Amino acid sequence: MSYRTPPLVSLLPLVVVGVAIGLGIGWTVVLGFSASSALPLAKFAGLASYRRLLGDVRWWAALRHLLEFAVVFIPLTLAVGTMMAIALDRGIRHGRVWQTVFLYPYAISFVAAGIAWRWLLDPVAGLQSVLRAWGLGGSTEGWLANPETVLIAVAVAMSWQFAGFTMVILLAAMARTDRSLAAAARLDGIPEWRYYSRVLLPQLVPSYLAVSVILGGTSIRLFDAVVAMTNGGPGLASDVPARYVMDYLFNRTNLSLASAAATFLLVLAGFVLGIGWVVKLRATETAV
Amino acid sequence: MKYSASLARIGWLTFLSVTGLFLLLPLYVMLVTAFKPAGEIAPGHLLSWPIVWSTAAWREAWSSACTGVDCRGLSVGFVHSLALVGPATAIPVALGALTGYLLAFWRSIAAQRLFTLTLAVIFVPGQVFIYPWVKMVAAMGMFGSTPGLIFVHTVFGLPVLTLLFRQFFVSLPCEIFLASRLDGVGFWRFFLAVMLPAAWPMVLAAVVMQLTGVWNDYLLGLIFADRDFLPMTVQLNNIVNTTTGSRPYNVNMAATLLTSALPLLVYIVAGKAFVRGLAGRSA
Repeated sequence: MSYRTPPLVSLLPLVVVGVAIGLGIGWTVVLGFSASSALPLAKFAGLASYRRLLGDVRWWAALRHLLEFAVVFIPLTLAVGTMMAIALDRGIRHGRVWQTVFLYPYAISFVAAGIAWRWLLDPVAGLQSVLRAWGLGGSTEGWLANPETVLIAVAVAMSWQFAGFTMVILLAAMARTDRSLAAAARLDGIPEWRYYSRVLLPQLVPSYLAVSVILGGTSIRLFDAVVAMTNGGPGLASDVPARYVMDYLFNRTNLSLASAAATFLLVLAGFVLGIGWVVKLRATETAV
Repeated sequence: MKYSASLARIGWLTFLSVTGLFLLLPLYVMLVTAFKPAGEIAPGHLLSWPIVWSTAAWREAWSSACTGVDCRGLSVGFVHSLALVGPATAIPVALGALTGYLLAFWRSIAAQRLFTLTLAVIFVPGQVFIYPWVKMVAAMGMFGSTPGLIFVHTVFGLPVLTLLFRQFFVSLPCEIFLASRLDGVGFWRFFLAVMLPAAWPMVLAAVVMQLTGVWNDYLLGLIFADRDFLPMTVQLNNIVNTTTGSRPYNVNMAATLLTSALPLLVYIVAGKAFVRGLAGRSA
């Protein structure tokens, strides 16, 4: 069931979107090599902006923050998502209700989640004040106001949103595996934890890969949540690359620098995708 | 044997309950705070039930909260988002279904390459497109307008939607359409009369995904929206995060809940379609 040549009209949306995307990427890359600052300038400036970017302490700090964020966010989300998926896969009454509860955070915007968590983490009247009232903990400095913990706080908030998403992906993948293996394992007296760790989860490696890449992409793109929760603060302690780009695009208007930074992010995203691709290829090789 | 089985069950139930509570905590706090009068918001009382149930915060958030100089509340943004979400969902989903169908059945190397490209494009960070698209949309005379925002949402959403539909169409068994093919049905007729009806669950999933995506969007709305027609999410951030002085937390929480009401409603009503859209994305 296939066509050799589709009618040209049907290709139109694809072409328009393709041009918009291609032009967008190309233009940004080119701008990074130009001498533009507040206004675009069609003057070639070589690697000047890249040199400035790589010499900018703020950019390296932003990248470091991205890493610090991802190092908490991705494993935490995968771990909690896995536990949720296993808990529901084992079978439990009202599984649909549990799933609804676990997934609802993904339905709200990052801005809404960021605002909610900001209130929860308010140093004066938030969770910390409740802990103090109960006699536990004594720090009056908010987790969001402490540069050491602010990124962890943002990562926890994002994990809160994405754990359910991970669970759904994993559950869908689990449903596609050979379910008779579970029954066979039970008959053979294999303990449940071993069934899950040795039999089921290894079959889900492609899904883990896909989710990790998606979570990695989300980390690189991180912007809305930071704006809503901390606005980069305290100071620049939670500044992230996407925010850097936006800042130099609209506030400090240096188009070339912003474009160079955006291109850097593009390459980074491509890198993450590439790693995922390579791992996927290796995994399918060894499976055979 | 039985002892350890029920121990395991208790363990898992504990995990589920603790996790469930953790996930529901922000929602609970938001609700409880939004119904409190300003006086009840005090240190240590975050989790307490309101002593006096007040709807003042909700009313203020809806009709008199200030975004800059405009003090007409979130009701304004709600209408804007509602008007935006219709076309910004219908158009991308329709075009996504068409393009997915196209890529699924076009026998050529070009189709394969295009599909791989579509997949790769999904991971490009949005910030890469901002400046060029601002220029492009301005050149089309649509910058700072709702049609311009709809256009941008369409371009941004098409890769994911194409992916969803293409994967779905590829997974359909051939038998469904062999009969119609024999009748010599054309490309368009086939798409509209056979494929779309067969793809109904996927259309629903795509609509739910795109709808919540557009409603919850902040970045595109921030940049491309008509200044007099800001979507609700952008307005929410303006209301909550640009006030100086004391923060009216009850109003802020009411505002956040009002903004999240529609996507949550869609999620609860169409949960199954929501899940299908998510699962289809990873395929």
